[in-house]
Amino acid sequence: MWLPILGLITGILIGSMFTFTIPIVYAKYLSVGVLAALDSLLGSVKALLEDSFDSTVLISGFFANILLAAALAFMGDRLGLDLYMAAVVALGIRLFSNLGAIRRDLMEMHHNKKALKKAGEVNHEAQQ
Amino acid sequence: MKHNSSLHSITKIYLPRHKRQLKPFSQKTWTGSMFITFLIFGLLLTLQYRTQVAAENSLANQKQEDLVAILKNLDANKASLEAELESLQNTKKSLEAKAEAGISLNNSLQKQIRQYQIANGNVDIGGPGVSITITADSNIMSYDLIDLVNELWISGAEAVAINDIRMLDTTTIEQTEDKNNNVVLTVDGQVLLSPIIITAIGDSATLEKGLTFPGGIIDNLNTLYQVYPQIKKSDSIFIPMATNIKVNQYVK
Repeated sequence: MWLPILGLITGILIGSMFTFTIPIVYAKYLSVGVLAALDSLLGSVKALLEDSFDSTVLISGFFANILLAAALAFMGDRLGLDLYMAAVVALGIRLFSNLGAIRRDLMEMHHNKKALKKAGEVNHEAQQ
Repeated sequence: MKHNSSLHSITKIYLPRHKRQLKPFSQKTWTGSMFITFLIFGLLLTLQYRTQVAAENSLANQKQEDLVAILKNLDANKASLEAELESLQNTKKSLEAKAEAGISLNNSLQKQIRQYQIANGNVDIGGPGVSITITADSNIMSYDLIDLVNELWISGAEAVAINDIRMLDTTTIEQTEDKNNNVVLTVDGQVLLSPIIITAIGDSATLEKGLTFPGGIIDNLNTLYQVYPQIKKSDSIFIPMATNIKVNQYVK
């Protein structure tokens, strides 16, 4: 449970230790990449809650999404199309739907737990 | 059985909607991959954040008003620096002028010192002039020598010496008797040995004329006392440093 959060903090700390920045022209691609990474992570959390988690899917999707989003933005720049915006919009929508699913799953689980507890008590009383 | 079935029905209702078969997943697998992906995400996030901050701070992304303000600031800075440069250059110029004045003052002081040294006989001197040779057989008196020296001064001599003894402001020319009661001439107490040679530095032609004009001192010496001094013009008269300088005791 806490290991992913530890990973995030470690990543931020390591990133803060470097003073190196990428050229401003590539900042746009990296930003789309970050968005894709965030989407992948939320998707993995959702999968975890819904018990369909697969680490191979996560790792491959994580890198593939980052590369694809960045490549899309790059290609858009070369073609004079705002494909960058397409990636942002698509990822944004997915981000919100994932977030919504996570929220609902959590609520449902919470509800489920409560109901199970209640049922257990009822059962206990009936047995007595 | 009844209670069990009721529990089963409740759990069925509140199962997640996709109704997947819950199978215990390996804790190790999901934490490992999540850890790696979150770590990389954190790295990317900070990298992008830093890049964005750098981009926002770069001049190209500043607001126009800010840029104008920066430009104005720099212009003002430049103007003040230019003013400072100008004032510093003026200071430099004035200091150079002062240094030059100092050098010229030093030069003039050096010249003055040289002048005083020449006048006081502190240095060897040389230059054009005349030398007057009076041979031993001449019947010459101290007055004649004084007259000769005076005449040389009048003719514009800048330095005069008798037998290499410089004529200074305290110089005396006397006529005394030595141990054998012979009459001798002395300059500052030094006995003059023959031949007496008077050397004078100045314009040689003027000096010669001043001595030899008709009715002048040489003429008088020739006709009245049968003394025939020989006058020789020269371009390089040498007069050594005075040895007869008196040190002031009372002049303050």
